[in-house]
Amino acid sequence: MSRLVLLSALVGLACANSPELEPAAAIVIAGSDTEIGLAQRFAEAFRDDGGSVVSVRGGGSGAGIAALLEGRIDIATSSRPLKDEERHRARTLGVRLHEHVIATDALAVIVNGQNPTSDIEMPTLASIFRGELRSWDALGWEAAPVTVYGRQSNSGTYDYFREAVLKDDYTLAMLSMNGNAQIVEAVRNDRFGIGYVGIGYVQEGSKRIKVLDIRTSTAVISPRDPTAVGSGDYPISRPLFMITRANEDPRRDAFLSYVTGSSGRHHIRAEGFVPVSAGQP
Amino acid sequence: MSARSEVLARIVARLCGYSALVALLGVFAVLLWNALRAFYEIGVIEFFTSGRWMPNGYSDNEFGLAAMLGSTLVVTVLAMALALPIGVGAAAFLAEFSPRWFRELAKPSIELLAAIPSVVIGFMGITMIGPGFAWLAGNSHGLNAITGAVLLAVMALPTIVSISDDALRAVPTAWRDASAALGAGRFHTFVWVVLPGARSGLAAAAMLGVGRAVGETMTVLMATGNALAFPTGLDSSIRTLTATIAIEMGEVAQGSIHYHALFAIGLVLFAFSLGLNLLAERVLARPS
Repeated sequence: MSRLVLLSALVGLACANSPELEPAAAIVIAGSDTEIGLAQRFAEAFRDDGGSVVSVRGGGSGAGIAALLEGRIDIATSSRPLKDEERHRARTLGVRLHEHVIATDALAVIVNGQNPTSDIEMPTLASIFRGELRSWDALGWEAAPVTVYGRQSNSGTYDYFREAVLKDDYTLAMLSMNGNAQIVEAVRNDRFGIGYVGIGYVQEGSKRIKVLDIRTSTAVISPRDPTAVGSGDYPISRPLFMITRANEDPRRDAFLSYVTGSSGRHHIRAEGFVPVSAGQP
Repeated sequence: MSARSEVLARIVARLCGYSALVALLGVFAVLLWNALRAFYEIGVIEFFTSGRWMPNGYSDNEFGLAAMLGSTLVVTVLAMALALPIGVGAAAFLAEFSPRWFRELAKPSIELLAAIPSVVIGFMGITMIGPGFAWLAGNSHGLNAITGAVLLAVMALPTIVSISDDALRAVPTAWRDASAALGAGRFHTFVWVVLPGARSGLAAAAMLGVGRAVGETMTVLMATGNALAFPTGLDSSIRTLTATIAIEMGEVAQGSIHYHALFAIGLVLFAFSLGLNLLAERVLARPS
């Protein structure tokens, strides 16, 4: 919550300052809160490398797309593809949109370091989060109750994980935590806990927390494997988008090619996401 | 000149007096107005009896308050079961048995306890009390009702001690003297004369303590795990009414049923604390 408050305060400040900022900013970006850190990083690096001034705002994926359709911004960041009603609205307005997938965000399923489980199948994962599977002995461990940690219902990650894994409601017994870091902290301290977080939030080599691989009929896949995440073989990963109008705008396109170029990929990795090209030669 | 300033001062004072009333009525009106649509769309009976709160459900949305009402009740009753004996006991010691210097040191200290921000108490709950109880009970985590109740008890203590102390000291010395003259000891006098004499004040202390516990948000939000299921035990993770408003307020679409349902929860809380305060006031006004 505090991060959210801070973010909205920053967004508020950005809005308040916009009369002075906007004439100077050649490219205006708004949208996804998931991508805001990444976009700001791009903006700073792009300017430092001699590119145009880029201003970045949050507001949520939907708000960004709406602003793009109204022509108020140049690039909308979005953690989901366009919805049908947005496509429809674009057609009505006579606007053609391009969706650029810039990175992939893998969600990691985490358990406590003492948990002997190392991989899990998707149906099992779903039944844990639906509350049908409640004891670790079903996974060959102690007969101890599973503590299910998830996000609060206002989180996009909550929606995404539900859609990609459960296809049904979460168990009412799920503890709702306020953000990725809180889930990591809780599972680190709870021997029988399980949760989902963005892979960027789990430090590599931590002994007290374990990232589960996903077992499919053909393979065991780790969210730490950029190739599998980039190609979509890792089943709980989602593309992150930058959406633009289909018009010509050399300055914007220079920024986009910076984002998808080698220094862009470096920043994507640094923010804990997976660059798209990693899985697509 | 002086007559005019007199009139002006009177008007200003009257405005200040009315402003509290206006604010109260205004809050009530806004809550009621916004809550009515929720009652209409969801149905009063379902709203209060269904245990499923799924404002952003997978296939459909459900707005049932029962589990949260139960959770709020469990954590409040538990907090009072801890805070009342300790609070009244502390007040009894301060008012009747403690040396004067200790009383002068202890009372301000206890009242200062109320100045600790709730977020700090919540943090202590997460880092110390929760893990402590988890270890004692053999649970794997301590984000549950009992942790929340202990923290709420700590937060309600200053209110309870302070008001109980005032109530005990308001019992006339002559009663104690009369009891002593009849041969009763200090402890006997306290239990059979002073406590009954202060009962209305003690009841008011309890009610204000309950009000404090029910209305507290941050601490329970941090320490109880916020699971939506109906509590099945003292170590269940629970979610209170206040926590629900705090969690969901930030992202709710204005004008949606969910938005109005959150106002309806606010109305429930408002009615509850208003009722408690009115009751406490009546009890206090009653002569012992």
